[in-house]
Amino acid sequence: MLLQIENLVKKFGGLTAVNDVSLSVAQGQIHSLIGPNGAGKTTLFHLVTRILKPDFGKITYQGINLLQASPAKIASLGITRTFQTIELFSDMTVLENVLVGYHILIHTGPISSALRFGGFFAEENRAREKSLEILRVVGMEDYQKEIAGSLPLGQRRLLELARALVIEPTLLLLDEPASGLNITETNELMRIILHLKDQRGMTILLVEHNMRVVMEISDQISVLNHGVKIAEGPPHSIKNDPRVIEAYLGSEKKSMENEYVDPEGR
Amino acid sequence: MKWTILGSYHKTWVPLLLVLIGLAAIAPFLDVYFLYILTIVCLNVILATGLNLLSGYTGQISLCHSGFLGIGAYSCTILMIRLHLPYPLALLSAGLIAGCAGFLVGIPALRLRGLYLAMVTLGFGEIVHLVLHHWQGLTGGPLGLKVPTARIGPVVFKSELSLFYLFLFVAFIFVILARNLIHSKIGRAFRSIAYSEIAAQACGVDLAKYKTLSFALSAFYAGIAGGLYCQLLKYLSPDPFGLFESIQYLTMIVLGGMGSIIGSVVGASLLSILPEILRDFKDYQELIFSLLLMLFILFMPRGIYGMIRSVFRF
Repeated sequence: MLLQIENLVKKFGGLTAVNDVSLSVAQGQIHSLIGPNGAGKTTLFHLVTRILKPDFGKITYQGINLLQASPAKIASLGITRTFQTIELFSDMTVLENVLVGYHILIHTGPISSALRFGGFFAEENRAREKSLEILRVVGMEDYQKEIAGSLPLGQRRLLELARALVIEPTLLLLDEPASGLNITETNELMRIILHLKDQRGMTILLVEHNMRVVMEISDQISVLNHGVKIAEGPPHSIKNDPRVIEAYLGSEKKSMENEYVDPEGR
Repeated sequence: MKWTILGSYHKTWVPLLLVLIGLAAIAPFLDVYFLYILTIVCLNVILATGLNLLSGYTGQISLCHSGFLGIGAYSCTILMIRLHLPYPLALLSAGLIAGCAGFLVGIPALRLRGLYLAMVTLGFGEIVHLVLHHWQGLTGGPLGLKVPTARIGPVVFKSELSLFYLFLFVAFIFVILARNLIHSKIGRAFRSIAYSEIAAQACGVDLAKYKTLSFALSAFYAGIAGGLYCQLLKYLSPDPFGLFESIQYLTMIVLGGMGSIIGSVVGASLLSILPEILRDFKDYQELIFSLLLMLFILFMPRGIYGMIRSVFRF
């Protein structure tokens, strides 16, 4: 198992956002997390990337206890992510955004950067080549000089994906990558995600509300509801699982009674 | 699109070098007063560029840059008087001492944001001001210190012209260094922090490291500026290192353009020359500066350079 989550608990005041969740993500798979709004999916992402601290439980990644790693260390362990709310560096160019994604693989310090010695240009050119290659993968190489904040939503999502891809992560966490995309863009996104799995051997943990995306590309699906894992399995068995159907159909009434508020407003 | 030494420089190098040569060439024909103003411009360019690294690029506000300037000026002078250090060494040490102070101020910045950070830096600036006033054994207090004249080898920096050349040279070097830094991993990390800390972290940018680095670098610039400033002042007192000066430096980068090296140069030049033009209205100087700051933040948040850029789209 690449990523192993055991008995994870996260509480916000009186609300238990993630309640005793255990989850195993196998190497080379697309593993989807689904569930109604407020089920704890994004919180789970924040816990894995160490932005939030769990109250209880274990996260093991490639045999390493992830809870001892600092948030900035996560990327160098080969875990990158995108955000539901799209967190781009909006005044920087497309290329520069991807270059920040490559940060940990550039080995020039402040002095060699300021004075431009010690292989500065070799490092910088290598980073640029790699970033352009990744922009080609998501089909955005023609936009490299555009300002990120001026892009339409679909391209902003792709750029965020490129930024997470540039270090060729082992585990890629995608938080609702298809939200706000039209059908063409969604198909393109699905093609890219499958390419990453098949051609580049990445493992992908996906949170998504678009059921077509989830059912078509997932190898494994875990269903969360009110912070609890209620079902797990391949797409065809999840589709017909009575507990899942109940959670989704009953969710509108429940979620109105018990509206989930993320403390960070996400 | 390979990056080479020449290719990466031509855009900034050439215009800046032309300005440098032009100024150096006309300097001997200028009268002393005008030369003095140009020298102040160079000084403020160094300071504003350093402040822009911190506030413009990294997004961390500082209301204590005159404090760092003061630390630099006093360190340089005291090292020359007490330890008889040669000027270049004293100047560099002044930068490093201020840089260390900047690093220390940067530590609370790891937890604080916006207004709270402004308060901490404001407090630090006031502490420096008070220490300069009251640690009479070291700083001479309000009586001040006489600054030894700088000399580098056979050159003595006594005349206005020689000082101008020194300031101009250092300003040029530091603007180029800042520009290099911005177009590198370090600069991109600074900027990423300003836009989204959470995403910067996800990209592996160590917030603690880069925020404190930004503070230290910015204070280093101010310290170097201080080491130069003491030579221009000739007689050091705590007066030019107060809160109003800090706000003035912030106004420079807001006016010129936050997050732009050229903006720092433009802002520093304008706000150094403006007080001279408005000499008759000296009583209203603080009012005019504060008003400019407000108007620019409200109506031209990207400053003059930012506006020119968006109009001409380059």
